[in-house]
Amino acid sequence: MPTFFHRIAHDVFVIALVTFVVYFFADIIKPGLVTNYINLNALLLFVIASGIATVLTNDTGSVE
Amino acid sequence: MRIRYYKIVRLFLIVIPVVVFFWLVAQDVAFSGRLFMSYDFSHDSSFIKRPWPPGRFHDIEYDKTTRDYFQRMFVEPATFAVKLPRKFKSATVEVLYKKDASQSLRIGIRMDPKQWAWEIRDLEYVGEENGWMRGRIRFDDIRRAAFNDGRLQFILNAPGLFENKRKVALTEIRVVVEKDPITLHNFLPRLWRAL
Repeated sequence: MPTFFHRIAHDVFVIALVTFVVYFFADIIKPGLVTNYINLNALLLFVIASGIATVLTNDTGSVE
Repeated sequence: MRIRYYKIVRLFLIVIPVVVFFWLVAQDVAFSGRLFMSYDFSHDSSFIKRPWPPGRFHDIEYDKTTRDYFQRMFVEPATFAVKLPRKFKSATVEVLYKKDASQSLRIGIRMDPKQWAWEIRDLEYVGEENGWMRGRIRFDDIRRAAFNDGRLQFILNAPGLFENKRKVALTEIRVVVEKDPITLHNFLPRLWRAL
């Protein structure tokens, strides 16, 4: 049974990843639309950090 | 109880990037017809590129008492570019500066991307702001100006600056560009024209 924090971390990761992909392609289609205001590198770092947090909070695969 | 919290948190997580995306689109389209940009020398701006060429300026300095970043120009002219998401009708440029009273300071906008053609006018002094002089100039019709690679180019012109060994210190450049606002009445015709 996934913990509350794992569920949140997992959702943060998925939503951040989808957001990054959408923003990335939006900025390619209309240069500056996103990057004039948001640092996509920082968003990518956040995606990676939330991915790591998802793995660390996952206790379903642990050996008892 | 935790399931309820989880659903609320999840809703926020989904809504925030969607709202941010619509905000980004709104900034790009400029529904209000107005876009404000500024560059205060503390960090690079996405819209206003720092004055160029760098050899005509001292390094960026920081005043600890006023907490202002500023840069002193000792050779003129210098230019700065303003990146715009789309075309606008008019532009108002405001500069916060310090200079000798006898030194004139003018700002121009590039009219032809292939030639050294500028519409240059004197900066109108409009008052003081935090110990800096505030000058303003308005260009009523920038549709005729050179719009190259999504950028407008401006020139800072201070005749006799180098010859008289004077300096002009700049701490902030503000640009407001305006066009007709997008309303319910003109939205569809404008969208049709854009397509």
